[in-house]
Amino acid sequence: MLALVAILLFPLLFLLGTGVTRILYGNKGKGEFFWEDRFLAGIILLIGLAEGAHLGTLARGQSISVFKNLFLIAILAVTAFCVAILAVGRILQKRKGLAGTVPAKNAFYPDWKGMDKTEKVMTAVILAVFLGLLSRILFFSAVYQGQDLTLETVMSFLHTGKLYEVNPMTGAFYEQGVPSRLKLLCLSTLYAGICSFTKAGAETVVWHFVPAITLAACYFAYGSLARALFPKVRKQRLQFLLLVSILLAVGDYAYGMESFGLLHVGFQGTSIRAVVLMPYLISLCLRRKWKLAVCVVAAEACVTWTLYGLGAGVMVILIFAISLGCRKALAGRREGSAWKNS
Amino acid sequence: MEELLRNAWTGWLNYSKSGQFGGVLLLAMIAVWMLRLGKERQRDLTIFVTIMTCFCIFPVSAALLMTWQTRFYDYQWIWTMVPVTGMIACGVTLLLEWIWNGAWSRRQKQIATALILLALLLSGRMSDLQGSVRDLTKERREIAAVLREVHPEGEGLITLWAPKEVIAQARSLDPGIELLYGRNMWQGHLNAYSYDTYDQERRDLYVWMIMIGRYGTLDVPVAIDLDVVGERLEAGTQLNGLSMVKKALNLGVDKILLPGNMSEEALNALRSELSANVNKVGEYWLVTIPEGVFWED
Repeated sequence: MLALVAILLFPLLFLLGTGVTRILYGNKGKGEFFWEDRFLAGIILLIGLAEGAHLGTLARGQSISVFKNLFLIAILAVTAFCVAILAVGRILQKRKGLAGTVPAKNAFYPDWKGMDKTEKVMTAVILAVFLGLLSRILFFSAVYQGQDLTLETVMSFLHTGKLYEVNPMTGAFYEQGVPSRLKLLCLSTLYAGICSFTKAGAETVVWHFVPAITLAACYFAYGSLARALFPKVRKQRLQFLLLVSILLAVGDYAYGMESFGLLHVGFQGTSIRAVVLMPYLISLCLRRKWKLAVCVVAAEACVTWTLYGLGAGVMVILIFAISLGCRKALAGRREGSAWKNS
Repeated sequence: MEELLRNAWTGWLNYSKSGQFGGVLLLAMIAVWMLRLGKERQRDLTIFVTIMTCFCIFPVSAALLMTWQTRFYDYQWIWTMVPVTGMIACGVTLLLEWIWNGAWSRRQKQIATALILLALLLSGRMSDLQGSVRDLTKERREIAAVLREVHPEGEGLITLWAPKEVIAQARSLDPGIELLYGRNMWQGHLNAYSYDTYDQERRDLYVWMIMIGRYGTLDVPVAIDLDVVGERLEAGTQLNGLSMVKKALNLGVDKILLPGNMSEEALNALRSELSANVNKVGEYWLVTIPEGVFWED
């Protein structure tokens, strides 16, 4: 069942993501969003749906089965809505004769035939590193338990059938309770919902399945950043992704590093924020896609403890706006020099 | 505020000491600035990362960022706002482009590229293979086997008191087992997830369980090098084993796992004083008290 969910998850995320970008940017943004954007926008929407279902569950007796039902209904409803939006958009497009505005062929998938030898080698190495990291996540349990109780929390949810009834550390009923800002975060409930729906073990879902999805999302996020940084030169994009792959493979030397989060605690909200949401947010800031950037900020608030919703994402957008101002000032002062915009 | 500033300052020192990515990031930025590499978007990223890196390094701005991210998270998490991996990769990509477009010979270019890649490889885990996170599969499999005997399938909820390594995995292997205390007894960060705290009695029980693992006897002195969250007993204080076991039973413990190195004398004392059943389970001794047995506290 879990394998089926994994297989269905990717097309579902692409569909949801396409719907999100279409709703936010309409047809004019069609050529500016790539497969990475669709996948990541799908993930952001899924987090939003999980949060909605989680809050609904907290308000309605805190039962895991309530969460499961609410989440499934939400997914089905939003999927139907996205299909309808895309179908209507397509019909309208055909009527207006705008069918030719579809993005270039290589915008959706890597164009293997058009690559030179170096690019093919780089792609192969990126793939090999990705598969190496994926197998490490799937087949080993090199999990850092030091500052995490996600697995215990999920198992407690599943055992009692209710959210936050017992202390996951001891199994005894809470005496003082959980901080409410922590209670609002949806990931543990989402994982328990996945276990309950697929009948898979909590360890499999939390320590292997979710980190594997995080790894895929991380590559999509850095793929998106590569596309934002080097929009015209594929070789540089591949070079960038190759370097990212190397850094991810060797950079897990300390808690708090991006790679450490990805490889050892890929199910934590902080890891998802560090390796998926932040690189994608920066890619969106570079491309000035502010509406989707706000969605990333909202997703961050659903998975990590933030200052009343104002997390790292808001700070990144603020500083990015300041840095854009700095760059304009620098470009103005250095007009005519090598720093002048090409 | 003073503590926050101190944390911000020591945080950067620890961050740069624990690995080389901090240094590599600074080098990548210096290369991009000095050689004036990159165009519009790459320059946007460089300026953004430069500002954010300065904010993260200088104690006052770092303390402000730490307040912004809430005190739930430690210093290292403010670096989430800096795309370290992205900036290093972007800087090196631009540097390689500069090298390959330069007037160097092909061999020099190849050597420079190889040296840069080697430096990147050695900047991370490769220079410290010992410190990696260990695979828990075997350890968890062994503890799961012990727990299956302690709490067979179909048996209702039980309260277990066991050595640290069993406690660490018990709740994530069998949620039908309740514990006197969890990992948050020694991993302080986990206490941020709940308002519940442990009383002194449970801390003493935890300390006793560690000490009998070292001495193998029931009566043990408290050591100085213990990782326990909250107040602890003074080092050298003698803990009486039978009294500790009775305290645990009074707190509702159904089964006790003791370390495998317990002396025969200690096990006999449990048998005679508490009428306990003592059986070997894996590397541990499983102690249970038959129903209807009473003891004086």
